[in-house]
Amino acid sequence: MNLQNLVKNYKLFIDTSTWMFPDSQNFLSTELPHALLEAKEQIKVPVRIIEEVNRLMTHEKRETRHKAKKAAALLKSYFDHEIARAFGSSSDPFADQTILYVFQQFRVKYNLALITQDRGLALDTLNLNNQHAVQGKRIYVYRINESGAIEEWNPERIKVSLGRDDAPSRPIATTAPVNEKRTSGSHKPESETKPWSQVTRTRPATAGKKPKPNEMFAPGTRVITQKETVMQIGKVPDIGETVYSKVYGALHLQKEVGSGGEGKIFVSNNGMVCKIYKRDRITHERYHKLKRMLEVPIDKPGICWPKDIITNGSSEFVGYIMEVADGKPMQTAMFQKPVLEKNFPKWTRKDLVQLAISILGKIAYLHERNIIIGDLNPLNILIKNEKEVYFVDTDSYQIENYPCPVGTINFTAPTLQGKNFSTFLRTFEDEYFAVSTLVFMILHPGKPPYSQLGGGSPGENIKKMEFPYPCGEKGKGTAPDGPWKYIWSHLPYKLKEALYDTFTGEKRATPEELRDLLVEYRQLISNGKLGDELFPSGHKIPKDKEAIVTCTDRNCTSPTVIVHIDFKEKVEKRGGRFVCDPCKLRRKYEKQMRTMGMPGTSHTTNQRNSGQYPPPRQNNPRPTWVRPQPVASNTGSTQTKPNTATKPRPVQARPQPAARTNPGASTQPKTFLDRAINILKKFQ
Amino acid sequence: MSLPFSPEEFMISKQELELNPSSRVPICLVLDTSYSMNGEPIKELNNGVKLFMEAIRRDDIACASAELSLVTFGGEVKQLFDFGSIHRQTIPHLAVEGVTPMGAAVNHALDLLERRKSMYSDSGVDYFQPWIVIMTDGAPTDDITIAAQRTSELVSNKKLTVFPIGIGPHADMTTLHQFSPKRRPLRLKGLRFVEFFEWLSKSVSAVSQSTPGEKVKTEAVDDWAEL
Repeated sequence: MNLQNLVKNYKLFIDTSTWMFPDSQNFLSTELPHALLEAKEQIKVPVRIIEEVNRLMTHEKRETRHKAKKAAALLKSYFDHEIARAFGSSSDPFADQTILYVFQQFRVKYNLALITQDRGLALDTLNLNNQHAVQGKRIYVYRINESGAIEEWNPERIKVSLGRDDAPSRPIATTAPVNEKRTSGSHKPESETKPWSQVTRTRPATAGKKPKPNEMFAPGTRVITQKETVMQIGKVPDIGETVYSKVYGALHLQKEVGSGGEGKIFVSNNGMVCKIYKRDRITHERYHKLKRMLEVPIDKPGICWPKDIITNGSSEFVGYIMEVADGKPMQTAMFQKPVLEKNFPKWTRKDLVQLAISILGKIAYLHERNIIIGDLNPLNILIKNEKEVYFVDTDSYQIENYPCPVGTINFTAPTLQGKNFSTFLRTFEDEYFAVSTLVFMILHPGKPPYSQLGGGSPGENIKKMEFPYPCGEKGKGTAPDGPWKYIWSHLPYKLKEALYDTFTGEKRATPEELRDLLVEYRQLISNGKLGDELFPSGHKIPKDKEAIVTCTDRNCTSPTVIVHIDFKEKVEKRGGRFVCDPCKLRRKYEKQMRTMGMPGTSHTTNQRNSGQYPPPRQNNPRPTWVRPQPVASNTGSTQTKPNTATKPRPVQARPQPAARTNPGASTQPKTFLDRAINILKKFQ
Repeated sequence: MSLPFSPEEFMISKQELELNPSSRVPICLVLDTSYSMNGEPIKELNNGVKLFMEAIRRDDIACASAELSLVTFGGEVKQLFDFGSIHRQTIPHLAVEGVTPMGAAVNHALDLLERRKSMYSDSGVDYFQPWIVIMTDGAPTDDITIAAQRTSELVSNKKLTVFPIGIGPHADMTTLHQFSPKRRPLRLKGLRFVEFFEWLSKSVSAVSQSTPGEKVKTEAVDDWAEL
């Protein structure tokens, strides 16, 4: 049934879960209103739903609050445009039950339809169709899918999916006793559990049972730990040879497109790709895992899921076949600034955000099916553009009791560092750590979240869980040098908060939460409220948040610096000592010079000076660091601090080229920065 | 030899550290260029170093992670280049000269590594524990006690990986062993520098890639060495 017919001929209800579902934004804010306006129809909104949304706006969970606010805005505009009408009263039962009650009461009289994201409610509502005692009209139940389109709930699929704690964006659990029955304890009722017994229904026969094994995976319970046993096989096929698939027939291995520790990847003559394992990787366990993976068809573009087993001429298992991937690995395509700019010359920050959103969509899809990627990392995601990405090496994913036996340090949660990945099953919480790390490293191209001043090896940094970037008042102040802290400062506050909470161990953000926050970020960039630069050159300081701090280094030549007011407050709290970036750099250089007097160096008697760079001697003047003078202040003593009350000039990053006044001097840069810049130019 | 560096060098280095987000693997090559290396050995050594640097340059991930410095000992200790981007380092031409001050060379290498590590830390760059490759065809002509103590201590604390390599029949394996309490020194088969450096570049790639474990997972060594 198309939308036009639906709104014309049916009384349409929309459940709270759909109002609050991020992916239904487009449907609810454009498609449906247009259809309603054209048909001059109204949707029906139980008062209880409005109340529920209002209440959720003050929910303790940030994510829930955020979604409820969006839902409220939508509802308000529906009422403003008179395309919605409220029914019922506060004395109605809770929202879900109200809907069920209304549907049961009126299905004889009216055509009724419901849009909900809640599997349980969908199934209960559809079950009303099966009550033969009453001859009613057929009820239709829809949902909004991940791509934002309306689709009918398939009762068979719901039954399978029930019993898992993944009803999408379900804001609150339905009330007991209905809830307890239908979800067998997998949904934890949150608060309202007042029984409401007016609606009496039979419990769906299939609900609460385990999902059918050919439609989704069960959560893992115990890791398969036995040692892998190698299959004894004849020939491992190579380029130019023929392999076989029951589904795709005989295939010719035409071109090698990759090789690694596990085996080789070939393009075959049907355009698909075969992974042929090395002899010692062809094991019974791998075969069984692949067989299990094949039982659940994963048909999402960009996820290179095994499509069939590949055998050699003697019908022995040697690998699997999958759809071809496109693009370059994220690690090599975008984790170095010059490479990023070369591969994606048109990208701005908005595209990075979009890329993260695209990737999170695929991760959420896998998670809904109880698939844990495990070894999430920038080498097994290929990037074609910001909307087309390919997940490869899916055969290593954690499926049921088959662990993902590999991992990388940067994407491994603190508690799992140093563990052998094949000896345990990862949890969704473990995966969320990896997902947040990936999002961080997309937004700060290539920089791991725990890299910091005073840091050590990646593993040590992660284990300490000391996240170096600030969030409001909080933060260690050890963000690494370079563009990273500027990028961070330009992120929306809510996103910073979610990442900060994740990396300090407070609360790990879910992929769905991150996706919502990124959608919002994308919006803020589109509106011009946040910067669109890939690598912003300074901190974000809104006009009304500017403040002045003074560098306390006594050799500083231009000590007034404009900073964010929050930063100034932080400095004052810590006792007011502030050292500006150029002075910090100078100090770091001086520190390096001092490390000459290290233990063990005194006996390098052969030391001979090149004469070019005399080693500094103790108590001798250090290399002179000339800094650009603030304009027109060249008569003042460099030791005198300007009065901070006077309006400061922005700190000049570099002096005017000497060439302007004295062309002959251009080859003889006067200041350290000049010289350094000249040298850097040579390498660009 | 000059351990201190100029403000210019410091600035370039600093820029590279700030802009490149990769975790680094600092590697110092400490190579014997004393007179006994004259002829085929120095030719093959030059060849090997060249192939090594080229192999790393070809590997996108390794060249963002691996940082090389090169110290030679032949007559005196020379630092051919300090740590930095491999793209702006020139492939050296090594010539032979004089005696074998191995102890001073290793000390110098350790100083360079210490300084590099502190620069990583001061800039907020992650790094893996450094590697040092010591190659000689003979015996030191200076005192190696302190240098050997320093490397041994670092190795025991898992702060350093030493690859001690003997070249030809006259290499003093006992001395090399003193630098490396864990990993036994290896004697190069003939003058197979190329195979060694090939192996080393593969190991660098392995560390800089997918599973950069805290332990160095090196490739099989059958190709180039005999135990």
